[in-house]
Amino acid sequence: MSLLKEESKNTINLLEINSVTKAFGGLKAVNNCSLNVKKGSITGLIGPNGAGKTTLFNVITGQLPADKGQILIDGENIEKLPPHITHSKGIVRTFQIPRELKRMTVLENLMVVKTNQSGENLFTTWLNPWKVKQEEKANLKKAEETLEFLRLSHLADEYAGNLSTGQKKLLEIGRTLMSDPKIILLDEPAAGVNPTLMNNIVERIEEISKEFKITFLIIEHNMEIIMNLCDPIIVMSDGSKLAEGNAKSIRNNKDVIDAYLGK
Amino acid sequence: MDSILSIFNYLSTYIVIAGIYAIFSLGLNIHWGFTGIFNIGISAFFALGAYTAAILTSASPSPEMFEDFIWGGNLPESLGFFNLGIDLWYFVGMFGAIIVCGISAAIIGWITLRLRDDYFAIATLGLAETVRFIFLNEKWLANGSRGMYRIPKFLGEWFPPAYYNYFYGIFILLLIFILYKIVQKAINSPWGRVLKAIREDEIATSASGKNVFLFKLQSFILGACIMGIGGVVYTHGIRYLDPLTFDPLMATFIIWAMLMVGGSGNNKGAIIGAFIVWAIWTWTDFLPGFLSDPNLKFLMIGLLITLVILFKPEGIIGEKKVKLSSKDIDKELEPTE
Ligand SMILES: Nc1ncnc2c1ncn2[C@@H]1O[C@H](COP(=O)(O)OP(=O)(O)O)[C@@H](O)[C@H]1O
Ligand SMILES: [Mg+2]
Repeated sequence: MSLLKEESKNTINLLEINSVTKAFGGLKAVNNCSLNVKKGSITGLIGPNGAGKTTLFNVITGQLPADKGQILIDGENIEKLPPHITHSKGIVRTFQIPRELKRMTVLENLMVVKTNQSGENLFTTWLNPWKVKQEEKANLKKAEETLEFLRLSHLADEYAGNLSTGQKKLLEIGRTLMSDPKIILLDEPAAGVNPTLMNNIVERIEEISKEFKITFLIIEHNMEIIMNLCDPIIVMSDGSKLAEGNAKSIRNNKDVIDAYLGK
Repeated sequence: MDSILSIFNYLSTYIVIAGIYAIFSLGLNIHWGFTGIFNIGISAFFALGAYTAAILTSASPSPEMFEDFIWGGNLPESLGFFNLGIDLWYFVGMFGAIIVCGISAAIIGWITLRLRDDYFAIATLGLAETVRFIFLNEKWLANGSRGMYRIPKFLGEWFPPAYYNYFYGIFILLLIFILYKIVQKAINSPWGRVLKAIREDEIATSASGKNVFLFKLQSFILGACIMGIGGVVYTHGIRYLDPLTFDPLMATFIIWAMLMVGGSGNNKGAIIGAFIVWAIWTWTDFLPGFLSDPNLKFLMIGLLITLVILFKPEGIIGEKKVKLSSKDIDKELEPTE
C-alpha cells in the first residue's frame, strides 16, 4: 500500500510546460515547447548549443515573458509572474555564467537570499533592531550550515568575485538552498569546473535530491554527468522537445544523434 | 589675535559648507555607493529641499521688498504658539522638505527606475534642469531669478552674528553624525544587503526573490530625503536662494567628485570626501598669483580624481568587507574596520 502511494507520488508532475513559445525577433528560441518534470526527479535537459535551453529557464523563472503557452508549478499557473514571485513559488535557479554578487562576501551572497526577512523593511531595521538581530543569527547559522554542506566554509568571508568558476557554481547552488525550494534549475553546473570540484558538485546534487526531496532540472553538456545523474533525460532541439527517456534510450535514439551531429 | 579669529571664522564657514556637501554625499552614497543608482540630478532634490524650507519659513511676501511670490509659510511666526524657547520651526520646515523630496522621488522613481541605467541617468539630469527652470520661471512660487532673501535664521537670537557660524558648524557636524548613524543602521541591515545585491547584479537579485524595483525605489526615496535635508541646512545657513545656486557643476558634479574621492560604498568615505574636495576647492583661493585662478580649481579637482582612480580606485576609505563568520553576531553586524 505504502509502496503504491510512493509510486503514484513519483509520477506527479511538479513542473508542466505546455506549448510555450519565446521568440527574439524572428528567431523562435523556444518553439511550442511542451515538457514535464516529475516531482522528486533529477531531470536532465540536453541539446545542442542554441537549442533554447537557457531561454526556457529564463521563461520558467519569469525573467523573460513567454509569448505563448502555459507553465504550471504544482498545478498553479505561473507564466505571467516576475522572477521574485516565481522564486516565492519555489522555483530557483543558477546561471550558465555565474552571477555571483562580486563585492559581497560568500556569506552575504547566501544570507541575502532568505525570504521574509523582517530586516528588509527599513522601518523595522530602525525601530526593532533586536528582532532583526535574532533573525540574522538564524540566517547566519543556516548560511554557515549551507557552506559546510558545500565544503566552502573556508571561503565564508571571501568576496564572491574572487572565487574560481567551480566555487562560484557551488555558491550559486548554495543560494538556491537558502529558501526551501521545490525545484532547482541548474544551468550547466559543471561547465568550466575542474574534476575535483565537479565530483563535489555532483555528489551535492545527489545528496540534496535524496535528503531534502528537492526536484532538479539540469542543463548540462557533460554526458557522463547527465547519464549517471539524471533520469529521465529530455532532449531539446530547435526550441522544442525532441526526445525523452532514460540514459540508455537517449543514447540509442537516432533523432538525438542526428540533432547532435547537426544533420 | 585678529588673525587667529579670522582663521576661526574661515574654518567655521568651511565646516558649514563642507558639512552641507557631506550630507549630499551621504545621500548620493545610498543611491550610487550602495544601490548602483546613477543619479546625476542631485541638484533637483537639493533645490526641492532648499526651496521648500525657504517657502515654508519665509514671512509673507511684501511688494516693497521686491518679493513677487504669493505665499510664504511664515513658520517662525505661526509656530509662535508652540515656542518653547527653541526654534521648532526649523525642524518643521525640515520635515516639510523631507516630505516634498520623498514624494517627488517616489513619483519620479516610479516612472524612471524601470528604465535602463543610461536612460535613467539622462532622466535625472533632465529632472534637475526642469526643477531649476520651474523655480526660475514661476515667479509666483519662489520669486524667480530675484531669489528668496528673507530666510529666517535658526536660533538667530541665541548667537551673535559674528559667532553664528561656529554654532551652525557644530550643529551641522552633529546632524551629520545623526544622519550617519541612521544610514549606517539601514545599510548594515538585511535591507542594505539587498541594495548591495542590486548594485552587484539585478538579475541575480530578482532571481533570489527580491522585488528589485521596490528596493530601488526605497533607496531612491531615502537618498533624496537626505539630499533634501542638505538643502534645508543650506537654506538656513546661507539664507539666500536663487536658481543659480543649483547649477549642475556646484550642485551635482562636485558631489560626485566628493564621493569618488572619499570612497563610494563607505559612509565615512562619503563624508570625508566632501571635506577634502571642498578644502581643495576653497583653499586654492589662498594660493599666490595665477595659482588662485578659478579655472585651476577644476584642474586640481580633476587631478585629485585622477590620482585617486590611479592609486586608490575604491576611494580614500573604500567599502569595507562585512566579515561575519568568525564574528559574535550578538555584538554587532557591522563592517570590520
Ligand atoms: N536575449 C536574447 N536576445 C536575442 N537572442 C537570444 C537571446 N537569448 C538567446 N538568444 C538566442 O536564442 C537561441 C537559444 O539560445 P539559448 O537559450 O541560450 O540556447 P542554449 O542554452 O540551449 O544553448 C540562440 O540562437 C540564441 O542566440
Ligand atoms: Mg545555455
